Amino acid sequence: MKKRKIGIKGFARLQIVDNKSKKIVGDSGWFENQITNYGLNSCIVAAPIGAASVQAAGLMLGNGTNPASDAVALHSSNTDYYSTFGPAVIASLTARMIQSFNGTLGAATLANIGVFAASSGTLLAGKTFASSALATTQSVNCTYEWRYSTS
Amino acid sequence: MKKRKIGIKGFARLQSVDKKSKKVVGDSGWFENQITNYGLNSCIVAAPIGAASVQAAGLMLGNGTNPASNAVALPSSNITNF
Repeated sequence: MKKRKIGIKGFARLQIVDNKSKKIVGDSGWFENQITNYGLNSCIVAAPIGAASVQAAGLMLGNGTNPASDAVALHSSNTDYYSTFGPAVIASLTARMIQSFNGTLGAATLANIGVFAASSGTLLAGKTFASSALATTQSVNCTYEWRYSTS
Repeated sequence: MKKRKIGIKGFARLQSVDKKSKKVVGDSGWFENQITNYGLNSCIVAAPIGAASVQAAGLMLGNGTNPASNAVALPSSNITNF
């Protein structure tokens, strides 16, 4: 019997949308993330057996730098821009986390995104993207995916 | 920043022990497992984000053949050994 090799990579994409015209005015494109040591051990490894585990529950945006593998927080995070997921979808070996933030939360410069189990939790995964200003007349749609592969 | 490659493989080991002497009288050694499609999607992929997921909770022994990737049951399982 040939054994299957299973791998995982995380990706995120953000799009800024004008609230009035509904047009996309900014797009980060897909970018690969950094899964932290805590996210790897306490979530990816532990959650499938439920032992002392956490489950990803929300996304947070910020204006800081790239998280290192041993990071526990999202650098320069903006707590106004934390929310539990909207839909969480499993499809084709992909765990998809979706959230939309309205700019009425406050004009902000956005440069990084993180996945958390709670607003005050430890960073599970995150990454920077090209810095972009979010106006109060805009919204930002976030899609975060943990993609699994077999070979 | 160099990206980390993360992979997963499952392994198991069984040892039979004589109750009286406490000596190991049988040892399978470590062997690699088969993660089923259901286990992959509903547990490995889904549990970390909690969406329609299940979490592994028990082990069962049996006397049957290798489960295929699309298996939904352990062939010739012995439910008294769950």
